[in-house]
Amino acid sequence: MSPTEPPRLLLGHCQACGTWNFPAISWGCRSCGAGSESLLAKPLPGPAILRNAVTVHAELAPGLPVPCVVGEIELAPGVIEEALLQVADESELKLGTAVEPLHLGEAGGTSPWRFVPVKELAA
Amino acid sequence: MSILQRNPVYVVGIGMHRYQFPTDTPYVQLGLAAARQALADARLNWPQVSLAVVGSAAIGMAAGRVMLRHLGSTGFEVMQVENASASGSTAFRTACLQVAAGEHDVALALGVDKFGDGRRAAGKDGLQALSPTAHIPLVKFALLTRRLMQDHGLTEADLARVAVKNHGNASLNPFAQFRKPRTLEQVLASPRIAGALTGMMCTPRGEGAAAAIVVNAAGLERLGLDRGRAVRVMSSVSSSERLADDCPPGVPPIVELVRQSSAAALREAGLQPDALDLIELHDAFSIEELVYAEAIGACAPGDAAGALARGEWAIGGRCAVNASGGLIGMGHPLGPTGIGQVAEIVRQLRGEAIGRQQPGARTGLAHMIGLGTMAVAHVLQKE
Repeated sequence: MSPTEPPRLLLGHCQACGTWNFPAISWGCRSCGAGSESLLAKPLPGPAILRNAVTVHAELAPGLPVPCVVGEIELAPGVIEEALLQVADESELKLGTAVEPLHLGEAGGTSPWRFVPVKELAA
Repeated sequence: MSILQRNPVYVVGIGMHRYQFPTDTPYVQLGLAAARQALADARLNWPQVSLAVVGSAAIGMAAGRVMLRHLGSTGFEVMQVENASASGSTAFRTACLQVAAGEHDVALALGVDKFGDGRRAAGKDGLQALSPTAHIPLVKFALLTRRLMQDHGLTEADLARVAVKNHGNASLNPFAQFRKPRTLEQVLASPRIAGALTGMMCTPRGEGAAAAIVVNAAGLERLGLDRGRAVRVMSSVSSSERLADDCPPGVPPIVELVRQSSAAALREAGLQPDALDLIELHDAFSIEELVYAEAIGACAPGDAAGALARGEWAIGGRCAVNASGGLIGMGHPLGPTGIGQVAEIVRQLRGEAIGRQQPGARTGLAHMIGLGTMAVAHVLQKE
């Protein structure tokens, strides 16, 4: 990766059983238990899909401003992770549609990653 | 045949320190109040107890020895178990299995906790989660709420009815943290926390203590204890969540965990779900009661909201769910909660739950969840 290239969100692909894992660097495969040496870091195999989302109104996590929108995002088959969504309002989201990761770095505060809806391609 | 079927174990004493909002009261005072009450209830003296299993998630190292020495340094074996919200249930299970195995004849299971000192392992695994909410159960259950509202047509009023019932039950329970009945309108109008969950649909933070004394048949006989007030522990099961890929399509792993663990506990006890007169379950958030009670078999599939609305889960209904007030009404101080469930069921099965008695209660299930991923289940029966 060049110094100017933005970080990419990576998953761990188990070379023993084929299961996708998050994060890419972990202590073992969540399915077969193979050691971390079996997990190969790879980019997302396809578009991340927003499966669920809610607005959090109460201050639940230190440093996380509210209200905020938290979603469940399918990063790969069977890998569903909670993530923060960068939208002004939950109504901007449509479940079952593609979202993409955005790396905010230190500006992200408690987490550098946000997800945003994928803009539909112009016809 | 399980060890509890081969070697019967009985609850012979229960004790509670009321659940309450955090105070400056030392945990020792809370725990000893529950322990002394349980000893008096069993008509036992402390030297007759040879094992103490303490469930606590937030007190710290060796809470049991520091506390129980004030009952007398009799040489008793003492251990502490931590299993998140299921710490007390796991302490109870450990005590039951120890007396069933004959290692001890009489054991005390004691749950005690103070709010605020707990430290979570989830943030120490060296892995970076995508969201700072990743290990906050409330967010997980707010997301589950939305999913189930969408998939099963549940409404905010359905969620609120759980809280109305449980706040109402808690108002009748002298050990409960909340003692005021609430209306549907009040529950819906309370501050929104996450998604459809309002404050009154969520468990409060608090402190307290709960105790249960268990004996094996030899202990019951040798000590001449009152068989008429003894309640048998029919089964004990503990397990944890599987991957979504290993669950039936469309069934959240936590719901499948509840289904499997409760079915195993009932199977071990030789019972069907319709034998249950009482269920105490982990309703930290109101959605949980709707899906767990259905998964346990307290209603026909898809009929949870209907069963609740028809009063089938109320005290006096077909199966009283959270007659104590549950976690929403009675409270959830972590370590005590699972043993508090057992104490409530024992009180009910003895016919001693004054003002909130489930008529004719003979069999109850205590079902607890820890960290949203672990289950501990016990079936109790009055013989």
